Amino acid sequence: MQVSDQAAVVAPGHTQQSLVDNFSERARSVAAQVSLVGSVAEAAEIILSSEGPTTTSRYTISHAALSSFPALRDAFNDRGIELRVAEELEAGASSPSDVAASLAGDTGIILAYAGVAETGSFLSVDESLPARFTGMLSDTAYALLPASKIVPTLDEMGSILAQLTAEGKRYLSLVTGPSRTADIERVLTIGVQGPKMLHVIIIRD
Amino acid sequence: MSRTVALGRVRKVPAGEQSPSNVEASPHIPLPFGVRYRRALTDAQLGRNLLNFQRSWRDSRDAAWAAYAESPFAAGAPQSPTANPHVHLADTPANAEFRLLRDRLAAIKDDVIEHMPDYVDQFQRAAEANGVRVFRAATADDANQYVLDLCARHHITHVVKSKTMVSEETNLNAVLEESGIEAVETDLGEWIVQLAHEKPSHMVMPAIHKSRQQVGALFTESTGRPVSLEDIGEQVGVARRELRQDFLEAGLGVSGANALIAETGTVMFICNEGNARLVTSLPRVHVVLAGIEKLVPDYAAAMLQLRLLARTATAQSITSYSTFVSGPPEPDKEMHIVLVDNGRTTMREHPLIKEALRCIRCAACANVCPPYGVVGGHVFGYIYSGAIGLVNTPYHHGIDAAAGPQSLCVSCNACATVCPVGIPLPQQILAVRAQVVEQKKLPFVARAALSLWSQPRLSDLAIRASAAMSKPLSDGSFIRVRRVGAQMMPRVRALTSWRTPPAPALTPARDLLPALTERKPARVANKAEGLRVAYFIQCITDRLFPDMAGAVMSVMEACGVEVVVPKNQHCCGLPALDAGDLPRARRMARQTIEMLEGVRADYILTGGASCAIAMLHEYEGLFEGEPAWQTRASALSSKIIDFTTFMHDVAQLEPGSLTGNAPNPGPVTYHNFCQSANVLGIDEAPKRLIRDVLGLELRDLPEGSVCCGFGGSTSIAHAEVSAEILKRKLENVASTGAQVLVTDNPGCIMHLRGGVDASGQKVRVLHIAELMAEHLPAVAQQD
Repeated sequence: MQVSDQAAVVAPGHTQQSLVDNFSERARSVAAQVSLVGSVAEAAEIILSSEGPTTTSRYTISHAALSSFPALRDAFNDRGIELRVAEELEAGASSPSDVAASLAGDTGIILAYAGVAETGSFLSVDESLPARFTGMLSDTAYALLPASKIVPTLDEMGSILAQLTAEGKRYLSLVTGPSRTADIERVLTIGVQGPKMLHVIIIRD
Repeated sequence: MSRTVALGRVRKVPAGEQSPSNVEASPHIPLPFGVRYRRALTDAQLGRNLLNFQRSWRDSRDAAWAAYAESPFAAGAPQSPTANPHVHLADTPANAEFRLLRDRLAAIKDDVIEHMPDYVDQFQRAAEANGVRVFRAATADDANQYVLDLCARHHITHVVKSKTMVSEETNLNAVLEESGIEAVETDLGEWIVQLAHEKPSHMVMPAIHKSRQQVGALFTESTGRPVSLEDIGEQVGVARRELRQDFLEAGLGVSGANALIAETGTVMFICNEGNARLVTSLPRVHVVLAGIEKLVPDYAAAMLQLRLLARTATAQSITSYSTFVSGPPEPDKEMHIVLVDNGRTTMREHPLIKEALRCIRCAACANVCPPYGVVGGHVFGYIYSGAIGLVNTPYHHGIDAAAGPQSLCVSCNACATVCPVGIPLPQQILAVRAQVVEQKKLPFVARAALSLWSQPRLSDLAIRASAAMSKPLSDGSFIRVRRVGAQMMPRVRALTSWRTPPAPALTPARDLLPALTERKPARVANKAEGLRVAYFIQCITDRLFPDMAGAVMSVMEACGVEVVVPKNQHCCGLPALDAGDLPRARRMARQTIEMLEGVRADYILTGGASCAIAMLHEYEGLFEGEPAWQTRASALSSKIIDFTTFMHDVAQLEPGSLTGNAPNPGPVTYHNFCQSANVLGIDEAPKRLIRDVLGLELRDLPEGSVCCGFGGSTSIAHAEVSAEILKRKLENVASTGAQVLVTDNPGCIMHLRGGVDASGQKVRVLHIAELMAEHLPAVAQQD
C-alpha cells in the first residue's frame, strides 16, 4: 500500500483518498463519527474536546493503540489528564469481570488494525482481554485507524483475516458503527450493550 | 427465580399472569398447533404488528440491494449456475447483484452439503489444533447433556447466552433450569420473549410480534419499576442496565455461529447489540452451539455470506459486529464447540430436501410470507419459523410438530424469491406435506373428494350431477346459501360470509367448445396467425367459469389461430399435489402427459397459469425417482404456455391494435397471480396488453404480486387466514378506485369474485382473456 501520495492508485480504481472518502461515507451512514487528521496531536485534540455519552471522565487506551501512537501519552500529559492503559488495569483487579466493571462509563481508545471501505468497518485485533473490554464496554469508543490500512472490499479484508488467523490471532472483530438494535418494532436504537458512540479517527500516515 | 428476585433484578412473569399470546403448558414446549392457531387469530394486535414489520422490511431490504448494486464496491463473485430454476426475479440491477451473490453462495453450500463429513472432519481438526474442545452431538439430548456436564464440572450455576437458534432447537434452557442453572438470554429480543415465557416468533427478531406498549408493560412488570410504554430508547436502556451484572457474573457463555470456517477452525458470529462479544469474552468458559450445516470452506466464503446475510436479514450492509474466534484467546479460557446433527444428516439424504441445508438463517422467507403475516411465527412454525421452519421441523422435531404449520402454506413462492441461497422452499414444503399426508392420512372428506377427482369419467358425472342439484341455490354465478337458510350454520357462515361460493356451470366448457376450430383469417395483425394450438381448459374454468374458456377461444379465433380441444383432458393434478396426495397427483399428471402427447400442435395453451406452472415446474419433482416420466414431462415443456405469455411473446399484438373496439370499462387494475409473478416472472406482459394493446387506463395495484389468499386447500382448511389475506388484497384494490380487476389465474378469480361479491365492492373481476375478448374487432358480417 502506498503511504505518501494519497492520489496514487493503491488498488485498481482506488486511491488512498477515495478509500478514505468511501470508508467515511459508509461509516457515517451507520451512525459512526469519522474524522480525518494529519497527526496524533490532532487526534488527541478531538478525543479530549468532544462530548460523548460517557458518565465518567476516565480515558482508557489499549496497549496496542498506545504503542502505535505513543505521542498520545504526551498529548494527555500536557493537558494533565490521566490516560490509563487497559492492560495495566489487570494488575489491580482480582478477575476479568473487575476489569470489565471498572471500564463502565469510560471513554475507550483502541487501535484499528485495518479498515474496509466497502462497509465502513474497521478490524479490531485486540490481543489482550482488557484491550477487548475497552472496545466493548466503554460508553464512548475511539478507534485510531492509519489511513494506509484501509482496503477496498471485504475480499481484501478476508485475506487479512485469514493471514491473522494463521498467525495465531484468535479473536478478531469487524466493527461497523456503534452498537444498535431494532428488535422492538424495527425501530432503530443506538447503544445497546456495546459503545453508545463510536468515533473512528483516520490518521494520515 | 428466587436468586434474581433477591437481588432486586428482573424476574420472568409467572405463566399464570401472562398475556394470552403464547402461554405454554410447560415452560418450554409449545402448545398444540390448534391452540396456538386460535390464540393468534384472536390477537388483533398481532396481525397489525406483523404486517407493519413485513412492509417496512420489504422496503428497506429492496433499498439495501439497490444501494449495494449502485456502490463502487459491488459485483464480487464469479457467475454460477442459477441456485433455483423455479423462481424468477425481475431484471433490475439490485436483483442482478442479489442473484450473482446468491448463486455463488448456493454453489459453495451445495459443495459443503455434498462433502459434509469431510468438512466436519477438517473443521474439527483445525479447531482442536487451536485448543478448542470439539464435541459431535448426534441428537439434541447429546448437545444438552454436554453443556450440563460442562456446568457440573465447573460448578457453574449462572449462564449468559447470545443468540443461538440451535439452543432453542435442542431446548437447552429447559434442561439447564431443571438442573437449577440460571440461563439468561442477552439478545434483546430473546430476553423479551424469555421474560414473557414465550418462544421466539422469528429467527432474527424474536420479539417482532410484540408492540412497544407490550414490551413496556412487560418490563414494568419484570423490573418492578415503571418503564415507558412508548419510548423504545428507554426500553432498550433497561436491557443494558439489567443485563450488565449477568455478563459480569456468569460462569459460562453460550453462543451460536453464523458460519464455521473449516480451513481454520474459526467460528464466525454476527451481532448488532454487542452482547455476543460480551458473552464470548467475559465468562471463563465458552460453548458454541452450531448445526453442522453452518460449515463453509474458507474466509472468502465467509465474506460472501456476510454480504448476503445482513442485507437479507435486517437490510443492513453489515452488522455492527462480525467476529471471528479461532480458539480460546487467553490461557485461562476454555472454549468448546458442539457440532449438532439432530436430523441434518437425514435431510442431507433426501434429494428434494438437502438443499434446505444451504440455509443461513436470515428469516427473509418469513418476512414475505402472507400467512406468516397473519398468524406469526408461533403458528407458522414450531421452533424454526417461516418457510424454512416448515421444511426442517419434521427432521428436528418430528412430523407431528410439522403437520399443522405446513398446512398454512399457500404456495405463493414469495419465499423463494428472497432466499439468499435459492432454496426451493415451495417444492420442499409440498414434499413435507406429502410426508404428513402419507403418515397421517388425509381427512376422510378430502380423501374421498380426491379419490373421485382422480377418476375423470366418474368425476365428470359427479360434477354434472352437483351442478344440476345446486341449480335451485344458484343465481347463475354464485351459490346463495341464504336460500336454504344455510347461513345460519356456523361452519357454513365461516366459509361463506367473506367469500360467496361459485355455482357449478350447468354446461361445462368442454361441452361448449368444438373439438377442432378451423382457422379463420386473423381480424387483428399478430405473429401467431396460422399456428395450431391445443387448448388445456383447466378444471375451474371448465366446470365453474366456461365463459372464460369461450373468451380464450374468441381471442384465438380473432388471431387466426387453429385450436384443438382434446376431449379426454381432465386435470393436471395440482389439486392433489396441493393437498399432499402424491399418488393421485402422479396419476392425474400421467393422464395429462399421455393426453398431451397424443396431440399435434405448435403450442399447448392454458388459461390457467397455475396449470402451466405445475406442468413446467412441479412435474420434475413429482416424478422424482421415475426418470422416464420426468423425460416425458420435460419433452412437453417447450410447448406448454400460459395465455398471457402466448399473447405477449408469440402473438405480439401491436400497441393500439385492440383499442377503441368497445366502450371504456373504467379504470383497470391488475392482480399478478403470485406464482405467475414469482415462478414465471410475468409482470410487464399483462400490463402492456392492457395499457398499450387495449389502450385502457391501468392503475398500479399496491402489493400487486402478493397472494390473494386462495392457496387451494388453505382457503378451506384455514379459512380465517385466507380471508385475512383476501381482505388485504381487496383493500389494495379499493385504494386504486379501479372498476375492473384483471388476472390470469382462475383460482384467484374464483376467490376474488367471491370476496368482491361478499363485500359488496363494485368491481368486475375478469380473466385477461375475458377483457381482451370484450375488445376484439367485430366479426365481419357474412353475406
